Amino acid sequence: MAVPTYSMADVLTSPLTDLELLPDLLAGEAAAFERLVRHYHQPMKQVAQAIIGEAQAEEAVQEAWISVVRSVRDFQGRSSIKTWLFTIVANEAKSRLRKNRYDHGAREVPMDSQSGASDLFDSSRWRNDGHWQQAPRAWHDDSPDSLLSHEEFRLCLDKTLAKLPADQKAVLTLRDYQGLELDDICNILGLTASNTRVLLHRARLTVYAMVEHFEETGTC
Amino acid sequence: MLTCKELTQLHASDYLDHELTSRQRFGVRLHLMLCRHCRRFVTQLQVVRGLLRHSPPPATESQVQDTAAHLHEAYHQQNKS
Repeated sequence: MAVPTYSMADVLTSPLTDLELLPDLLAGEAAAFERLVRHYHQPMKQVAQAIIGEAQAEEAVQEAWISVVRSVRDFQGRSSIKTWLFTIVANEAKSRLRKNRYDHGAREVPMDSQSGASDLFDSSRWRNDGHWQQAPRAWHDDSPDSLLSHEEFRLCLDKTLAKLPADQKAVLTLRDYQGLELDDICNILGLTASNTRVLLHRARLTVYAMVEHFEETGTC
Repeated sequence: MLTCKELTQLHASDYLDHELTSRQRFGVRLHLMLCRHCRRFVTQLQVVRGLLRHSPPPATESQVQDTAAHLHEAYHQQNKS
């Protein structure tokens, strides 16, 4: 039987499974730490940003990594490694927030202050009876792969994600990129379930509006 | 009967994430059966959801290398002492 071969790039970027990563981490292998940081540093930073803001997010992540090194031997696998990492960084960020005297337990994000889904819900888009006045048009590229094959589109996507409010970006990252359950996201970010769902939907709608605009004009 | 605006504003993501009650889900499915515009919207929202699965946030290579090297060293130091 042929043995599959993998390039170094495959090894470094392929999805992580706890079963393959944990023994290597416990054995103290450099490559395991590199994979952990490569996959989770930025998502952890987004979680920290959502809780404590841009200025202190990097410090919170660094502090979280130190906690990870201290406690990896005690990791018992009750959650996945990524949920464990996100919980550690969220706790670190919340602890800093408490020191800053802003913590209020489960946070209610004021929804009016969150920028929404661009112009998707402009009144011109809807008839008075709540049905479409201006219905969505078919997209030339109707799959993620097809859209992402355009360099210009990838740049637009990066720009759109970068501009999302921190809470929306964190929820979107944890759900759609990291694939976490909504309950875990609520716990990690200290948000209520209804807030989390609204933030997720608004973030997706903002990306939707960008894709729709790109399909029509070829620009962001 | 659910309007298109309600479906797109309130229920579409929850529908895709299986977060609706069975009654709400029934209402959405009935609406989608009758409304091709909303069917298209939900299909496109699914594409948007898929985009994120393909788009890992970028990490700076030097930051990855530096952080990983520090952690690796700290882990071994800790286990020596």
